[in-house]
Amino acid sequence: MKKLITLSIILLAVLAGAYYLSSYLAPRAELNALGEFYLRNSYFGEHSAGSPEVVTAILWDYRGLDTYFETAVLFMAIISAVSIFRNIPSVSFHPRGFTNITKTGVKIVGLITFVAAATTAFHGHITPGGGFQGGSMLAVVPLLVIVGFSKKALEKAGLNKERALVIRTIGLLTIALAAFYPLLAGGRFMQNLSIYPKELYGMLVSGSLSLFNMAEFLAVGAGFTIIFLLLSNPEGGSEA
Amino acid sequence: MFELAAVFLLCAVALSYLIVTETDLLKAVAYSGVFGGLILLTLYVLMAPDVILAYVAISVGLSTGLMVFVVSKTTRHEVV
Repeated sequence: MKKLITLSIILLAVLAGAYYLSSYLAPRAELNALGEFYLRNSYFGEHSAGSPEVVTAILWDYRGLDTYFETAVLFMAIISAVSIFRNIPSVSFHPRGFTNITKTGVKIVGLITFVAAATTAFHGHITPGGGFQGGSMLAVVPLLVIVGFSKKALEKAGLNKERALVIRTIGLLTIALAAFYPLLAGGRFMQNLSIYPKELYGMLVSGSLSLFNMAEFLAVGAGFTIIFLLLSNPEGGSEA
Repeated sequence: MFELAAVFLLCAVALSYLIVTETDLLKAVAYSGVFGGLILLTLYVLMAPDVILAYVAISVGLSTGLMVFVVSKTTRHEVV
């Protein structure tokens, strides 16, 4: 009862605050200049990023430097997590996991999630989505396997911490190389079109955007997988 | 259409109060998953598909999973 009274007071306060603020916030009638520039240029314009998907064009081309360093932040965070856990031995044990119904469900949902993640990442330069989105969806699959089966099952299938680190490093190296290559070719840092081709064998690849998306997909997916593998380590090894 | 977003956000405010006051930590984690779902619906109404695709995996999948791992390393009930 006391909870309900507090809750209704909070809701009333939020409603009153929103009503008070709404008179100051007029809805916007037109685009600002920067937004209009991105919308006009991302595919057709003079400063084209070669991508019909404006958000990806901003992320990896117009504001590519921001995304580059954002990826570096994620890289540092996962490296620090790995270094914190470095002295904790990896305990191997085999719990029974869930029943067969759950395991079959995990298999089906895992496959669908994997396909959806790959589609989101590889079509990131055409439809909404991109490397980070696809990668975080990909990381759900090992999480499902750890919960439904066990950590041992994931490691038996070949995805252990070291392999995940290797996959992640490959992704990050690809991003770094693709970002620095235009400098060698006489362009600017992370330059996209006129260094990288817009179309490859009749397929729209949007220059380096699809390459960046695939590399980020691997890096983010494997990075989160490392965190889950570390956290699912049972302490003491006797109970999970 | 925007009224719908306001309704979802109000439900999210109510849920966030429930999350903070809940003493059963696993229940609180489940509530935060639902909270993520409400924010997702709001973003859908506001037409931001790129944000939704990242948020659906992170809020409903990854962060809930991480929190369950964290709860499993402490006690399930919060001792006040």
